[in-house]
Amino acid sequence: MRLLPAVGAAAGLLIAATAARAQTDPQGRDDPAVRLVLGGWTRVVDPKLPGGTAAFHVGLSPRGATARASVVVWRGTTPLRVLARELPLSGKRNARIEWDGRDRAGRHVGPGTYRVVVALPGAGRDLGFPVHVVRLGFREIAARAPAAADEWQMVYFRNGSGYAFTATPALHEYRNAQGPGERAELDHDDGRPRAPVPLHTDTRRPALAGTAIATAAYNYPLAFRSRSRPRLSARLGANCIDENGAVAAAGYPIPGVQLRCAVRDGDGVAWTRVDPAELAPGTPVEFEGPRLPSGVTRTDVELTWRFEWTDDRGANWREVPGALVTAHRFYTQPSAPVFAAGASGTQYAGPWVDVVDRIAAWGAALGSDTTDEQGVLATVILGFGGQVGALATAIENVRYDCYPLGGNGGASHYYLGFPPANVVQLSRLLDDAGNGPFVNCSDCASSTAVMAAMAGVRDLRLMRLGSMNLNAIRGIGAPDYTVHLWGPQYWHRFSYHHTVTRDGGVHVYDACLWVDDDANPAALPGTPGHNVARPWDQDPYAYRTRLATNAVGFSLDPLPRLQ
Amino acid sequence: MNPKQMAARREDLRAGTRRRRAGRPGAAAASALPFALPFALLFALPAREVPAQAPRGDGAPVVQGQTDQGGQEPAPDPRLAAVRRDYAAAEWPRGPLRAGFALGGFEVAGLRGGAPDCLPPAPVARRYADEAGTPRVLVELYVAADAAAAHGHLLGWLATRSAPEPAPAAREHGLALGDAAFAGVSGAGPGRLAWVAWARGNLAVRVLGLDPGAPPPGAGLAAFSQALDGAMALTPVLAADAAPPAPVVRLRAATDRCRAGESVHLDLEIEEPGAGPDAAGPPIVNWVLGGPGQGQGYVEPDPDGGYRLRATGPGPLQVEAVVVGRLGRAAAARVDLRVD
Repeated sequence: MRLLPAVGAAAGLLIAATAARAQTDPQGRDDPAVRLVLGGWTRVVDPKLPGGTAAFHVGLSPRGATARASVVVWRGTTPLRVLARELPLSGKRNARIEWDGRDRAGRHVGPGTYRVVVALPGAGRDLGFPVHVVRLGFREIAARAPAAADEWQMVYFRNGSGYAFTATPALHEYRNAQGPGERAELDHDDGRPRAPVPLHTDTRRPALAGTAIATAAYNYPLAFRSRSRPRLSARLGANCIDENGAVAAAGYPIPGVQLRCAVRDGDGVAWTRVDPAELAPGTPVEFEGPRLPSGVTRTDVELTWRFEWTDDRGANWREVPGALVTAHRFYTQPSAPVFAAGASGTQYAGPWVDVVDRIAAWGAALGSDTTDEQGVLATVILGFGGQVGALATAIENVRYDCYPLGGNGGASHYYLGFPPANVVQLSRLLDDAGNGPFVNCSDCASSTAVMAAMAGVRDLRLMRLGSMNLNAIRGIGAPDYTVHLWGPQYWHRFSYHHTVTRDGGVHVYDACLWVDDDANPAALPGTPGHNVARPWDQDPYAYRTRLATNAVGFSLDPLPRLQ
Repeated sequence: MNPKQMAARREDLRAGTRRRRAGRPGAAAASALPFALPFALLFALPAREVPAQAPRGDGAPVVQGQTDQGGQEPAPDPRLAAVRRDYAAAEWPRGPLRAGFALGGFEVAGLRGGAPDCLPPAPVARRYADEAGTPRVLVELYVAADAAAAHGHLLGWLATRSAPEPAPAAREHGLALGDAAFAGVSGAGPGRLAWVAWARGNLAVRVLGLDPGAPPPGAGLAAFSQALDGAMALTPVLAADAAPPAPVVRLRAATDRCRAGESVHLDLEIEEPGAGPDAAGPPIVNWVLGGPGQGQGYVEPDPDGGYRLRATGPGPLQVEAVVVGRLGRAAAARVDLRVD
């Protein structure tokens, strides 16, 4: 089986011989020495595909012959378009004739079989050949994974002006078909082809059409498990609009001709066809891509969809001119999202776009390894707190709620309270710190825990510590270490503190503050001590002794629920 | 503040509440208003409709000896119990109950209130922006079943402060608010407040400054809070044995089975006993789609009226309308569908 160019020398030789035998016999009546010779020609074309122009190569035989020809496109007995009137032809070199698929009025013709006739002066000195106009395109693309548990719908947390959770449609994450009142899947009512839908890049809101969630055209990001091979199932559109503004079928299957699809990404890597079946309008074709990256990542991929045809049962495939290019965004994370036990609601349908996007960006900025759960949690802790590496500020520019930073006494602004409430309003935090710029330990612990859990980190719980006398610390968003968190006139103490653990309290993760990792943790200056998998106790750098000067105990709170 | 000072502060808080009790506005009117509407939430419904739900708890932190909404009493949280002791909450007066408060109708000069939002167990939240559109004040409001539950919410806010000293009574800043009130001093500037929180009967409120760099227009959070509490105090009180009424919510789906990609019309009826004609703004309607199944979808207003579910993934699907009435009480109703 070979893939031949749509129009080219190899094809031309093959077709010319056949065509000449079949079509040029009458020419010899006027001048047997001069014959029209058909080089390559586009047999199947979708003129509405970008680059979808039909081309025909026509020359003369013998080599020294010259003549002028007319080229006309016919539908049945009706001439639709004159492509050339006095086209100079020679036997030395084939002329290239193009047809953009439009009639004389400039309208794209509808699907069907047309006949292109090249004629030399004189009766019967013509050469005709068929061109099949089809309409190719996708109305929907759905993400799949070889294992169903490796692909998740993603979630937005805002609608137009308020807060509402919306999951990307499980049916298909990409849709490009008729909206209310429109008639055809692949074309607008005025006949214009539907352009590929640009990627939806807003991480907070779903695609909107006016004030409603878009149902006709959208292109949502996709979420897969790291290292999985994504599958895209693309459903072909079944109808279009013809030159008269009527709804028309897509023009295939064509008797004796098979069609298939091929996909390559921006790196030129061919995606594997999962379903080799012949294309049929309204049916899906499925492709599997190369493995996605490890860790929490965001990858934008441009896919080029080309179509091919064969009339010899697949011995030779030729390209239909033109291609569709669609943009897709793939997020990956190492494990399935984890949510609070018994939680119900759309916000638990899958990872939030905004959360995975942030973690991926943090991982890239910090150069951190997010291929395992500990790495993901570490990235969340460091990224949330910021002020490290390329991350100049804490998430949404929040800062610890204390007097010296313009706040108050460590009040919670996003965490709704200890169990049984145990809910964090993460959507408000991610929405430009909608409950204000100040956070406390419970805000940080609950937010980082649910963000990391969403990216697949399991067994996360909050550690609630009792009251303590503090060593030097640097609060989130603070310019430096302090031994007077609340100001010089107050005790440098916490009444309680909230952190995160994934092993029942053996190790501590804390985005709310840094401890002092130098020889004297009680005094300034402070040496940055990030709290990532820091042992709780029994270690020179143990969290307990680095943070507090007194004996501190803790209890465990469950993973919070989400709003 | 040392332990001795803290004890003195505790005594001061106790005394402060005692002093306020005598002059509490509206207390005499407690039995004068016939708002004893039943807290009825169950209806005879079609087979596919799940009985309307009582609000799933106010989310009020539960302190020993106190329950909210008559549910099972969970074990007391030690931190909350300690805070309750520190603030002598057992001695806080319990003012008369109110049907709620229409936060959506509360406006102040110089600020523009946005649409309230609330998904229980969160409080009703409303942000107020200045003329430039910059959010300046956030008001959080719980309308609890009783005063004890409102105290629980107030304690919840106080308990999640990590500073060792108790928050000062609002009275120390010249603010006489509700039954028990506290204020947080802002480090942004002298005399500025970061937040004010108080309970008035079964209402618990927290007012937060959103822009530490600039106090809200007018006289800042203090004036804002006084105006808000004044408006709350003017609302009618319920009879002593009455419960604040929740909205009555009925939800019906046009069908109990649909295919992914299809729309299903939903009828949502909301009655708000006691809301009265003055309560501003529509009730808050949250659509919670979930359940143990895999079905997915979302709900939007239907241009033809009512709502419409758009099913986007196959499987069993619970569609729940969680409604927070204009007066701040919540109720929910649910339908179960099968998405093929």
